[in-house]
This record gives sequence, C-alpha cells and structure tokens, in this order.
Amino acid sequence: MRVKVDANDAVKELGDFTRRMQAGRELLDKTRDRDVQIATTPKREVWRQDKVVLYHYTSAAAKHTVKTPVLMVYGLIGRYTMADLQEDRSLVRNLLAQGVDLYVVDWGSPTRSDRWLTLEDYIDGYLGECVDFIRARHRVAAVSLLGICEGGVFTTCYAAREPKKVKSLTLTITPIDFHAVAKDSPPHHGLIGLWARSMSHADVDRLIEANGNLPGELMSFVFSMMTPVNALTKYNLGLFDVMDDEKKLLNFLRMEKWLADRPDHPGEAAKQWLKDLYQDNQLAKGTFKLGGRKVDLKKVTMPVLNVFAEEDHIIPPRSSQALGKLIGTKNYTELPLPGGHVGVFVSGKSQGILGKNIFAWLRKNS
Amino acid sequence: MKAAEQAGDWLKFWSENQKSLFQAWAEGMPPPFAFRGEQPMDGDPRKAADQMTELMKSSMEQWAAMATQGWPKPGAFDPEMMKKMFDPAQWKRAGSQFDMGLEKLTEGPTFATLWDLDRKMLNVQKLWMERSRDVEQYWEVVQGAWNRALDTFIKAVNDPKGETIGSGRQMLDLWLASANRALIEMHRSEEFLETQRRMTRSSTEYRLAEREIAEAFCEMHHIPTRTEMDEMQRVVTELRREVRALKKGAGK
Repeated sequence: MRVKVDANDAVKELGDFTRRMQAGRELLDKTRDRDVQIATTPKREVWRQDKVVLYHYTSAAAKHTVKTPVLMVYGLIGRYTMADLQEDRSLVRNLLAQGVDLYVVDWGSPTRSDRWLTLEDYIDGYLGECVDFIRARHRVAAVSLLGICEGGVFTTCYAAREPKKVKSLTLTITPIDFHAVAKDSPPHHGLIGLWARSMSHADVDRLIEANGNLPGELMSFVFSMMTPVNALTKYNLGLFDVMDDEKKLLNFLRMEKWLADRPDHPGEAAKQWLKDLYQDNQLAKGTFKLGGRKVDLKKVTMPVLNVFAEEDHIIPPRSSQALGKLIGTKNYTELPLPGGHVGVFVSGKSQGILGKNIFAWLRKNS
Repeated sequence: MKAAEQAGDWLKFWSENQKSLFQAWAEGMPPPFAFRGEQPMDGDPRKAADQMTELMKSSMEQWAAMATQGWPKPGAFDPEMMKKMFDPAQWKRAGSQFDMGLEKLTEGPTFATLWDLDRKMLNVQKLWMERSRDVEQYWEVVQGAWNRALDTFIKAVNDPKGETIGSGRQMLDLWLASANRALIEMHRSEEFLETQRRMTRSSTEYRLAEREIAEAFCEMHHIPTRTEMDEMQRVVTELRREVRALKKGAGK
C-alpha cells in the first residue's frame, strides 16, 4: 500500500477543510450579483438591425494612437463579453487604454425565429452592414477587423470577399483547417472535431429540424467532454479551492457567468458550421461557398496577425496556423501565446501580452 | 411534462379511442372519437355511418392480423399482451417482440385519416423505445469508462513503487486524475462516439415524432403549428434578406 496518512496530518487536514468551508460560506453569503458584473467597459449603441447591435466603446485615452477604427467580432458560440471579463483581465480595456478606437458587434440572443439565418446573413449581411456603418461614420475606406474564434472565421471570410474594406485582419484562436490536429497533441485536444464528424449530414439536419437552432446547452455539454472531471467537480472541489479567497472566488464566479451565457446558434448557420466546415473542411480545401460564391482565401491581401493558444484544446494551434499558407498576403505574423482557448483572454499571464502585442501590430499595420 | 407523464397521457388517449372503437364496432355504430378530424363524407348520415363501420371493420381485421404476427400467441388479440405493450415500464426492454410488433403496426397500410393519429402515436412509442435503448447503451459505455478508472486507481494506490499518498486530498486528486484519463479516452473512442450519435439521433427522431402529435392537437384546436410558425419565419427571414439587398443596391 502506498497510502501512509499520519494521524496528526489527517486531523490538521480536517481542521483546514472545516476552516476553509466556514470562511468560504461567509464569503459566498455576502457576495451579491453586482459583485460579479462582467463586460463593464462603457460603450454606446450606435447601430442596430434585428437582434444585432453595434457598440462603440468609450475611450479613456486622450487621443487615438491607431489611425483606423477596429471592429471586434466574436462568434455565435458564446458571447463577446469574454474579451471584457473584468477590469484587470480585459482585452477591451487594454486596447482602449493604448488608444485604439474600438467597436464590438453583439449578435444578441437568437431564438427559434432566427433558425433560418445563414452564415451569409451574418457575414455578408450584418457584419457587412457594421463595416459600412463604421466606414461612413469615420469617412475611411477600410476598417480593421479583430475576429475571435468563430468570429475569426466570419472576419476571414469577409476579408476574402471585401478586401478593399478591410485595412488589417487580426485573428485570435480561429479555426481554419478544421481537420488539423498534431499527432503528438494531448488526448483532449480536437474532441469537438471528433464529435462533429461522428455525425452524418443527415444527423445534423435532423438535430436542427428538431430544435430549430443548435442549442447552447448542447455545445456546453460538448465542451465539457474535453475536460470531464473539471466539469464534474467545479461546483464542489473547484469552488472549494477558491472559496476562501475573495479575489479568486469572484474570478471563478465571473467565468461561470460568462460560461452560463451561451446563446443558441441559429440553425441554418449551424448546419453550415458543422457540415461545411467541421465535417467537410471546405474553408481549408478552398471549396467553401457563401451565397453561391467560393470564399477565395487568396484574396486576403491585407496584413494579417494570427494569434493562437499553445494549449488550446478547442481550436488546436495547427488548425489556426493553416491560414498562413492559404492567404494571399506576405504580411503575415503568428503570435503563439501560453494558455488555453479561453485562458488567452482571461488569464493574468496572457492578458498583458495579448493586448500589448495586438496594439503594437495594429499601430504598425492599421 | 416529464416523458413518463406524457407517455401516460398518450396511453390513456390511445386506450380511450380503442375502447370506443371496439365498442362501436361491436354495436355497428360509428365511434365517438376523442379527437375526430372530419365530418361524415356526404350528406347521408346512415350511408356515412355504414362507410365508417366498414372501414373500421376492415381496419381492425388487418390490425388484428398484424398484431397476431407481432408476437407468437395463437388467436387474435391478447389483452394482457396489449397492456404490456403500452406499459411504459416495458419500453426499456428494447429489441424484443414488442419492438417487432410495433414496427409491423407502424409500417402497415395507411387507413386514411381515421388511423393517422393512432399511427403517429404508435410511431412515437416505437421511437421512445429506440431512444430508451440507445440511452441505456450510452450509459453502459460511460459506465465502462468509470470501471476502468476505478481499476487504474486501485492499481495506482496499491503500486509499491508509486509515490506515497499522505493526505485525503492527494488520494482524491489521484482518483480524479484516473477518472479524467479514462473519460477522455472514452470520449475519443469510436464506440462512445457511435453510441452518442445514435442516442442523439434517436432522441431527435422521438422529438420530431412528438411534434407531429402536438401539431395534430394544434390543428384540431385551431392553434398554429410549429411547422407553420417555422414556415412563416422562413418567409420573414427571406423578405428581410431581400430588403437588405435592395437597400444595398439603392445605396450604390
């Protein structure tokens, strides 16, 4: 037997456990919802269509140090609030503080009535309208796009279709080659692709027909499969580990708040996402079509910054890095960062590096 | 409403219709259906009643013949077997004679509107059984991973060359690491992916069949159906798309 527990140590462990439980309970009792606010950076609604809203962040900087306004685009799986989780972990605040003129598009909360919206509606339609609005407002020919995850795919496709309207393209944790996984990668990497490819096209069609949209809860379940024990223990063990430390507890709760706010993915767009991209890998193969027209990545001719997370279990680094060989610009920069998919945005370690590097690159290329 | 309660309601509704059907058939009268979709075929009530009775008679004969083939019991209807067949507690016993019996019923000839709702209900029950079977198989695969995790954990605890475990927390962490490895390994396995796919698909098919019943209810009560709402929304989405394109064109 390897188990050798000293009686005194066991008593001490029990005592520590009891003390931590007591302290944690008191802390949880006094914690209110207002203490766990996320996405608190001031912003103003400047444009709206259907459920989509374009916000302009209120800048604290005396002047804009980057000439071209930047539009931040998140995907439909999750919400843009991840980029502004809390004051000291906010890409938004970092960029604003350095003088970036920043907009963000909020896709809203799709309901069954949005089931027929396609990727064309989001990319050519809503995103295109946002870009045109900003261009007109600032009297500029092009804006800079900053895409996150699925939003990175949206901005890449838009840049390929409307290259003259895009000054520069910054991508973060963006899948391009949906089948790329390194052979030596950890076993929990790329599970979302395995799940998507385990279904047939007909399975996807029927799933959407039954639910109207791709339920956010289903995607949460799929994500939890990648870190199964963490998903099972986070409300007991995970919470216990942070519950007597106010800062850690609030960080934990803010992250939970973001995770719980997972909207449904509009049905027709979800079909394209799962079948055309995850299953058939059409973007990397050059066969992906929007509105009957091929998305030609060679037309991405503006400067591109591609940021990926070295430990990203959702979008494996190779999936993002595939972009370099597919686009038509030589001004292409990769920025690998330590941490996982979400960690790049919310961990204290990556936070400074991310904002600082994006700003430096924007200043040079926008 | 929970699935068991829904199943209970369907069973009750189905039983009521069958009871009235049997009674009416025996008495040579048209049955007072709980849900009756259409008025008699023409203006002559006697003729309509005769047609209805004839249709029901032939339907029942074919239904009885199919049901008899569904399970190896001599003779026509077996009330006990019918009771078992529609007892939700029996549904989990998938792959049995009940499956085959239901399949024969749902895949049998169509008897116009008279049998449409019954057929939909039988289909829902068949799909519920398939779903229950797939859910059970899914949990069997998951349970297998937990069993492997436990084996690994016990081996690790008893490994004389392993690091000493000096606290309850270390013991817990070792167990969680063992479980995490086993579960991730399972999540990558073809067996898990296939059982998960089947469970998702059969749950989806069940939900869609359930919708057909709900829509039949809606139609009878002048309530717009899910399908009609979806169609309407599709038109709205397409119109919005056209408006956006027109505005864009006008702007140029």
